[in-house]
Amino acid sequence: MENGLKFKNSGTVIADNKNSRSKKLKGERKRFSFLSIYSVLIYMFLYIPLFVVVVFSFNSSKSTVSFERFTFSWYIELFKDSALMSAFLHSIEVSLIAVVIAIIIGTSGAFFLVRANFPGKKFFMTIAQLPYVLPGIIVGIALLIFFISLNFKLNAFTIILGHVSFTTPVVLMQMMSRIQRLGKTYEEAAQDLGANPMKTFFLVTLPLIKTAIIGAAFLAFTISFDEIVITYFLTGTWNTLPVFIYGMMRFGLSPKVYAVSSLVLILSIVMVYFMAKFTGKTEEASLKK
Amino acid sequence: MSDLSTDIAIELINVNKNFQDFIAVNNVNLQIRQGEFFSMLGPSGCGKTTTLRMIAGLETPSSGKILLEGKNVTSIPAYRRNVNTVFQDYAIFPHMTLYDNIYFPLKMKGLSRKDANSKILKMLRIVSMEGLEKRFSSQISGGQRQRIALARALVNEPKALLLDEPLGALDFKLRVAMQTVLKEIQSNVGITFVYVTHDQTEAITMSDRIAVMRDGIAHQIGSPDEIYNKPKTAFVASFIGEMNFLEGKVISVNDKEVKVKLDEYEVYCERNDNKYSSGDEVLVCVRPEKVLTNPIKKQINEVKYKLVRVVFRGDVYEITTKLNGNELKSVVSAVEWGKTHLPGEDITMGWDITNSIIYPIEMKKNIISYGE
Repeated sequence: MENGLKFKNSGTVIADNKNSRSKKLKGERKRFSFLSIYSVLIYMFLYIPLFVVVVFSFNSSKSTVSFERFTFSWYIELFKDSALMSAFLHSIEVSLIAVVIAIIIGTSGAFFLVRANFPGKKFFMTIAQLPYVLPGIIVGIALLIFFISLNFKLNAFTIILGHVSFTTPVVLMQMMSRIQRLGKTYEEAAQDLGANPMKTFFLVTLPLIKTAIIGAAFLAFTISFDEIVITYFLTGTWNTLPVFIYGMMRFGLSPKVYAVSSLVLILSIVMVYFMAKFTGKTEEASLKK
Repeated sequence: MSDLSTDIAIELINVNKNFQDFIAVNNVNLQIRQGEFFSMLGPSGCGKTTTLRMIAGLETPSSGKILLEGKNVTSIPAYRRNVNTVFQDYAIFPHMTLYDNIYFPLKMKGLSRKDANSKILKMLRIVSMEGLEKRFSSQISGGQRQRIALARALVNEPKALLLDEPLGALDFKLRVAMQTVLKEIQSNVGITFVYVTHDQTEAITMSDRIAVMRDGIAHQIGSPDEIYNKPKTAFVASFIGEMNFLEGKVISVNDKEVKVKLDEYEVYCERNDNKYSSGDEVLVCVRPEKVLTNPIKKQINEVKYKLVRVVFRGDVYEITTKLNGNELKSVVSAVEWGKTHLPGEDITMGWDITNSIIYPIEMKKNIISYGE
């Protein structure tokens, strides 16, 4: 599922490049015709499977080859499926709680890592990334062993802790770059003008990193919402949506799976859109001429 | 006030600041008077900004004491010190309007918007920024940001205003204009200004007194006139204005003057705090504009040097002469310089004893030269 996010991102990057190119190279199009065919092929490779999923989610027959007639019935069935709906709500719950915790830990950690100096700082920053960078299967097994050895029951709580473990590094990285760019002058100015550390944080620092926090939250939510590998290891009877969909597939592909995938796809696109909107924007960006 | 101690706004006593192994400020002692325009001048890395930040409370001294109006504030945090800073990059809060930026320090004091309004408007008037208060810092120019930073730092009527290279980011013309603005505002509000700069012209023209710093040490503290005309060390002499450094040997010393052999000539220098005895190698210094070429009247110090080159600078000619290893420059007005001399000719250069400064030869290594 992380792969899913990655190719969505790279898709937007390609689109940006293509836009700027077409502006620059007006009249030189012929020379680049090979490049455009190449780009179109890549786009097709990336998006046709998604497109097929969306299209066949409206197919009245269960066939994945021929389209019979247009229907919403699979979507209606989704909403009638109480197990699926509760898995969906579980996913929202897990992601929301995990993101809130990750934001708190990640942001305060980012302040610490940017501003404090201690021996082994570089090394610590590297290992702080591990839960996100390591293959999910390793993190999943590690967490499972950890929880079992502590006699934890696998439930919503363990899943949330699992999600906190890999969303925190994401928040940490996002916030570190923001805090680095922010510098210390604004806070020093606030203190110089009579604001105690508490007022400095709430009146100056927080408003200045607000958009970065929102952006990081959207990113972390997107990653958390469709995570399956780690979750799979930490799931008892309490399911999240990706795990539930995976379970559905054991009984074969069905338009119902397509329908739910389409909805998740749309949600992810919306999230990525907001994430890009907030992380791209900084409070002083407009200051730079 | 007759009591001298109440006239001191800021006092630094044996202040040191180390960052790990690096000594940023080395045993600095300063007394800044009430209402004074005091500059700390020096090349980058000389400790001037660190000193300013310690006065502001943004940095804690490693040792020593800082007094504000006689009160020890060494361990009092910045937000409880009644001094305000204009930062080098102004640090106007980008998420607030200019009005709210100026309101910020008043709000911290517990003033309501309504009560603060008249003060804010008054400050806007003083810095000539009326009508722009609804804007954000991204919507104004660098010079305007500087004015807002000034208004924000002054609105609380601090005991002292600290300015960290506030004109550094502005282009030359705006910088010169802002120098006048700053000076005017200072005389209007009557607050002590502590000004950090690496620009000697800025320091000389604006300050009542200057501390010249290098490597964390305050080399000399004095009026611009003292600093320029009676520099205490060769570093100060070389850092401020232009200076000729000639090498010679002491012939004799009496209580007023030192007689020095400069190549085959004998010149006199005023005595200063350093000790000299005959036979010592010394540096004899004189500013180029104090050196007369072909003086009409006989000068106390006269040497005949070989003309090397003449540079036309528009308003003046810069004459460079040489004898053996010593190079002597003179700046003369176009009227004085008759263009009658050619390179290679011997010309007489003369200067008065009061403009002749002497340093021990060990100070030679402290001379700062600019790309020569």
